[in-house]
Order: sequence, then structure tokens, then C-alpha cells
Amino acid sequence: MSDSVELVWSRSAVYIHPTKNNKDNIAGYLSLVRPPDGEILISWVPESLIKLSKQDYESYVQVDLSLDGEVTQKNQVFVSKPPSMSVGSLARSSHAFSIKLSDLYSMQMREPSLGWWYGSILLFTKQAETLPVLFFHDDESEVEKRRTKTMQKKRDDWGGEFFMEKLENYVDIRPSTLEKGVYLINPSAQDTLAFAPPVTTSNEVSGPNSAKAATWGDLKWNIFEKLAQVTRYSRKASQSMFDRTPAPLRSMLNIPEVEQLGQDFDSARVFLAEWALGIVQDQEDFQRKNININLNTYDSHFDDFSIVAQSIERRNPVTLEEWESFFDENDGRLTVTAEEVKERIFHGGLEPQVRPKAWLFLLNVYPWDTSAVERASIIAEKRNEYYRLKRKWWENIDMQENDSFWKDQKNRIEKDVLRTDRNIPLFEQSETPHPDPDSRLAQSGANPHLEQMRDMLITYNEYNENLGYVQGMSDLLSPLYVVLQDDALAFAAFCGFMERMERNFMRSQEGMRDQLSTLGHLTNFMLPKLYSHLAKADSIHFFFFFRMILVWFKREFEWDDVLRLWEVLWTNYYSSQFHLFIALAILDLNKAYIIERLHYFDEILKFINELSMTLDLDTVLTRAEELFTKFKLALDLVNWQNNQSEDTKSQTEVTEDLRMLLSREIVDQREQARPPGATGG
Amino acid sequence: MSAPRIAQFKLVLLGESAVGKSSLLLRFARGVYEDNRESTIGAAFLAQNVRLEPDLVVRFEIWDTAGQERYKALAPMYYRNANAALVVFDLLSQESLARAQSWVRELRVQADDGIIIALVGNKLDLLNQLKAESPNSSGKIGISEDAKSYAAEAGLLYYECSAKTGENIEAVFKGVAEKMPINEYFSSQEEEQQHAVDLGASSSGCAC
Repeated sequence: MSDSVELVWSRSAVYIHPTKNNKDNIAGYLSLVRPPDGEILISWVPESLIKLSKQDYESYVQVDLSLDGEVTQKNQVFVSKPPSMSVGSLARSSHAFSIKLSDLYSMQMREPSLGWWYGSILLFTKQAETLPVLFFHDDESEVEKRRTKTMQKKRDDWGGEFFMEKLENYVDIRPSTLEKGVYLINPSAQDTLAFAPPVTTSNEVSGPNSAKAATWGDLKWNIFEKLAQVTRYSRKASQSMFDRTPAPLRSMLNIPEVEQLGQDFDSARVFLAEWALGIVQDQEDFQRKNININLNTYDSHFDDFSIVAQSIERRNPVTLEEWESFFDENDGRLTVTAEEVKERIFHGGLEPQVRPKAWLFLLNVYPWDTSAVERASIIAEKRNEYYRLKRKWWENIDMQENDSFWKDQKNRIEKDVLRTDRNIPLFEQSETPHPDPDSRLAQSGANPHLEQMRDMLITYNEYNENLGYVQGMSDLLSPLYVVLQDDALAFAAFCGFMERMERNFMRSQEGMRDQLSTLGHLTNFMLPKLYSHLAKADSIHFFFFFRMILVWFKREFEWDDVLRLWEVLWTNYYSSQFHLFIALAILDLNKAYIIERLHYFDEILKFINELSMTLDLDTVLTRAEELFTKFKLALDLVNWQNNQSEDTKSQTEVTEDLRMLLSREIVDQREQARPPGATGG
Repeated sequence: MSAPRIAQFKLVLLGESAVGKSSLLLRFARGVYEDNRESTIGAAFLAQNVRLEPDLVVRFEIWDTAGQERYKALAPMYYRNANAALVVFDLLSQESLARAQSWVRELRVQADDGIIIALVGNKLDLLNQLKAESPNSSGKIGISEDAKSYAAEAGLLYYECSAKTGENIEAVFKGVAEKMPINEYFSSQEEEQQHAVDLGASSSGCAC
């Protein structure tokens, strides 16, 4: 049998997922095989292909079911040689592959988790080939079922670990200390130094001498090069990435006629801007897929750092069924950790029916570690509290008639309630006349929801005496009320939301200034070319982001997307200030256009304002997560480098506000007491 | 026909919250009106042309600001270097006129000396409706008289208009456009061009 190989280890129910649709998943066997020349191969072959030969199929099943898939020396099993990567179209269309162990550069292990469900591994070859991601459907694996029955199965183990254990018999596997879950295979000394540096404390004598002798420049190059190799991975491996060419449309924008048109007609400019935006996005997609890195561009920062440290994808939203499965049937306590739930919400968001339940946790109306009974009693308490607070001003006729501050505030609130989300059915104009024709709200007819909105905001104005009502708050309250459809609960949730949003509304504007300034530092750190362009355009006050930051992108996205975005941000999963990474992502997605076409603050403000309702939320969220991952990696690298260097002058400085972006604690900035005579907001 | 000459000026909209600044602008620039339009947060910017003569266009770069008190501190950013300001009030609201007066005072102190200020009373449709409903009312309806006499006293352009019906909107912008220092604009343009030419000539001959 010249074409047969020894089957050393094999595992069934290892799938590839060529598309997001479950129906397209392909079951197969992951195996280690030894050809006659002796060098072990990793192979994955679809079950359908194996079944073509009855003998092969029996052999695979036999090896899979043997103890941990192992075959003893005297009991060798042979199967047909699996197709290699270069076999051609037949192999490619079946997705089968096999690679030599010596060609394996690194691998990434992704443990099973909520939402992903299946653990998976990514293999990276030295030739940077694109291999499909392998998903371990352990629940379908016969051997796992047996292990469960014989009580061998431990809670956390999964198929990927057995594969790695097996692999360790043949190669040296070293975890990267820079990135969790990434393992280097037979790393060279240089690889080890660059990518798996020993973790040292600053007091210790650090690293090998060669590391010290090398300049930061050398080291950094080395690190980026290695990083590029380890993470060369296309986000959608199954999609062809070779047949796309960038559209040459951008050059058309430089044709004088087109330019003239743009100057004469505003609408034409808008049209061109949008059109160009599409082009830019195309080009960026292209760039991202053809990971072709020019290391020279990384002279001092991380601009255009278009490799992705991990494959980042959005998931499906949490369904009601899935949400309920997180809780114990009897006492209603979480059976998974709050962390896991937040991770799940961060990556997928919630289905509409889940929101009224989950938002109360996310907005701290009640803690995650409560039982159903405890939650019911908290709700009762909050309800009483709201009606008590509301009664307090409701019954105070003297204040209502004589306190000019109060009257002013009520006026403001009514003006704003009348123009907040009136396109939402709940807030639509009512045909029934208002019972009190003198009420300012009378112009909208008898719509009780507008009355509720007003009452909640007046109550908040009384409840948070120092801050009071400020324009913008009605934008923050309205989604909560529409989702919860209960004034007392919406009020409680709003108070929870305002804990972190109070800084946006301070009389001194200090909180807004701080955030715009941090956004500036972040842009300078991550997108230095764009930053220096903005500096030339007199725009590094970042005021064109004022609206986005103030009401958390409420005016930039469609209603449903706002709900999704907010629940993602409320998790504090990576950072309590992840909204700044959303802003950064929006800049990043548009930076080419801004740099090429916009040279003045007014142009930039107009462009950014007009992005409203054109942004694709998933694209923005994915980019924000990528940017955060890069940011964190960059800070780690800087820290590591600073630890290596004794000379403080050569150390890279990172401002405190940037370091704070890694914190998941909300930034607590509170308004001072209202000075006498100060008007409301 | 040759292309018209374009003179460009900066105009800023100021005034109490919910008097209709954005609606006024929307009517002027797009010819439409939206009921219950959302409040402006931060600022909006757009450019719109007014044709004064067949061969002369005034191009306004317009800054629309948030009216709310809390964001007042940000206004200087927008009225800095403005050639014109529309200070808008609600013809039915005494408070909004008081706010307008305080904006005028601030502009007089803080803005460019040559700034042209127009006091613009909006919601004329509502005022007319009220007057029609009570034709024999002896009491004063609206605050037109107060506003008019204030404008005359303070030397401001004065208009009453309705963003909702569009009545008089064109007149506001046209009236302000006519007050713009158009000749100065073109002569300073020429000077700048001349200066650029001079600089080009001198830099090539300079040995330092």
C-alpha cells in the first residue's frame, strides 16, 4: 500500500464552519498520521470523504474510540493518505487538508464558552496558509460520551486539549506570554525571545543579555514580525480572498469636473462623500484580507496595524430561551458567572424579549448574585421609592407655583420630551385631546407616555438635586422607558445609567472635556497619522465628537442599533469607557477620507455629523474590539519594553488617562452643589 | 454665461432652546419643516447660497448651535469670526426675547466688531393664528411690539417669520446677505492672491 499512512491519533466530530449558517457545517476527523517517510502530518478530512472507503471509515472509528484515540505500537492502523493542501481543487472544495508538523508555526486555542459553545483551534503555518478553523463538537463525539459515562470527564476539559496533549509528544509547544491562548510550535531562540519573553518583575535581572543589548527599535520590529506570523489569519477563511481588486474609483475624485461639481452643489458633495466612503471601506476590507504588512510604517506607533490579534466576530443575540438557561429553575440564581453572561452580551447583544429582564441587571437595578425572590423584593422597593419621590414634588403646590427654578426646569423638560423620539410609536401624536388644554404637552394630545417621561425627568431633577435636568437626558431615558414600559423601573434603570453619565452633564463641562481629551490621546496613540492631520485642521479638541459622547451615539444609529450598542457598553466587558473605542472605530473607518479630503474643523464637523444613520453597527463594534485588543497589546509591549530598559529617557510614556481605559470600574465624576443663582440646564 | 462671483461669509444661529433655530435653517436650506424635530446637541454646520444678483452669490457657512443654557459656554467657538448672527426668539415667549437680548449683549462684547446681528422672531404662524382666534382682544398678543422697539433701539435688523409655513424665511437670509461687506471680501481676496504671488517671487530670490 504505497499510498497509505499510519493513523496515529484521530478524533471525530471536529467540524469546520464554512459559513455562519449551521447547516453548512462539515463534520470530519482531525488526525495525526505518519507517512512512510516518517514525518507526522496533521490532517483534517470530512467524514463524507472517509466514508467513501469502508475500510478507512472503520479504521478512523476504531482509532477515535480507542483510549484517548491512541494506538499502540503493535496494533498499527493504516488508512489512505489524506489530501494535502496543494492537491488542487478537489481537496480544496472538500476543505480537507494535511500539513507537516514542521510547517506548523503556531496555534491558537479557543476554549468552549457561552456563545461560541464549541471550543476551536486555529492553526498557523510558516507559509501563512489559510486553514479552516476547527470546531470541537464534543457533544457529538462518541469517545466523549463514553468518558462522561465512565466518569473520566472533568468539567472543563475539551477536545482541543487532547489534541494538544497528543501533539506534545512530537513537538515542543510553548505558550506565548504576550497573548493568551497562543502557542508557538518548536519556536526558534529568536521566536522565544520576541514572542514568549520571560515574565519578569522590574527588580529582577531581566531577560537574556541579547535582549538588553538590542534596541527597542530592533525588538519591536522583531515582535511585530512575529506577531504578524502568529496571527496571520483571515477573518473569514472560507471566503476567497484572492479575487478581489480594489476599485480604482477613488482617482475619479481628483478629476476637476467632479471637484467643481462638489464645490457648487452641497448635495453633490454629500453624495460624493458617501460614495467615497464606500470606496474607502472597500479598500480597507481589501487591505484587511490581504494582510500585506509594510513593517517600515511602524516607526513609532501602531497606525495601520491591520493584522488582527484574534479573529473577532459578532455572535447571535441572546434568545429568551438561552437567557433563561443561565438561571437555576428553583431559586432563580445565576448558574453561570456574571462574567460569562456579560461576555455573551458584549459579543452578541440581546433579543428584544430579553431586554426588559437583562437591562435591570446591566443597569444595577439589582445585583447579579440575587435570587428571584430577592429581585422581586428589590423591585417592590424601587417602585415605592419612585412613587414616594414623585409624590414629593407632585404634592408641593407651593414649589410648583412659586419656585422659578423649578418652573424653568419643568418647562425645559416639557420642551425636550415633546421632541424626543417622536417617531417611536409609543410617543406618537394622539388624536384624543389632552385633558388639560393649558399643559404644554397638550399640543401632542393625550399621550400618557409623554406625561410619564416628563414625570420621570422632573423626579430625577428633584432626586439628583446637584445635577438636575440637563438637555440630552431625555435621549438617555427614552429607550429605557420604551423597553421596560414601566415608569418606576425605567426611573430606577435611568438612575443606574446616570451613575456613569453624570460626568457628561456637569456645569463645568469637565467630564466632557476629559473624555474628548482622552479620545484625543487615544487617537494620537493608535492613529497618529490621522491625529496629526486633525492637528493641522485645528480640530484636536475633538469637538466634533461632542454629540456622540454626550448621548452615547443615540443620534448616530437607528433605534434598534442604539439599544444593541448600549447593552454592549453597559457590560463594561473590556472597559467602562468602551464608548471611546466606538468613537475611535468610527474615526478609523473614515480616516482615509478625512485625511484626503477634509482640512478644516467645519468640514470635519459636518462630515462627522452626517455619518449619522449611515454607520453599520456590527462593523463599528468589530472594529472597536479589534482596536481595543491592539491597544491593550500595545500597552503590554510598552510596559514590557519599559521594564527592560533602565534608561528612563528611552522609555515610552503613556498618559494615565490611557491606562485608565483598561479599567472596568465606571469613572465617578459628580456634580457639585448648585451655586445660588445658577440656572438649570 | 460666466460663473457668478461667490462671496463667502460665516453666519451663526443663537437663541433660547426650542425657539426653532434648526427648523428655520432646515426650511431655508432644504425647504422643509418637521414637527417635533429633535433638539440640537453640540452643533451642526451647513453651507447655503443666496443669489443677490444674477452674477453675485453670497455663500453662508452656517453654524447652528444648541440653545440650552448648559452648553452656552461653547458658543464663542461658533460665533468667533462670524460675519453675521441670527438671534432667534419665539414671538409668543417673553423669556425667549430676554434670552435673545442677553445674546445680543454678549455678541456686542465678545464677537467681531463688524458683526451684523438680526433679531428674528419665529413662530409667526402661531401668532397669526392666536390673533385670528381673538380678533377683538384688547390685551396684547405676542411680543412683537417689545421686540421691534428693542431692535430699533439696539440697531439690529428685525424680522418675523415662520419656519413652519416658510413665510418670510428667504427675506431673513437675503436681508442679512445684503448687509455683508461684499466689496471688502473681494478686495481682500485679491490682496491675498497678490500676497501669495509676492511671496512666491521673493522666496525664489531670497538667499537667506
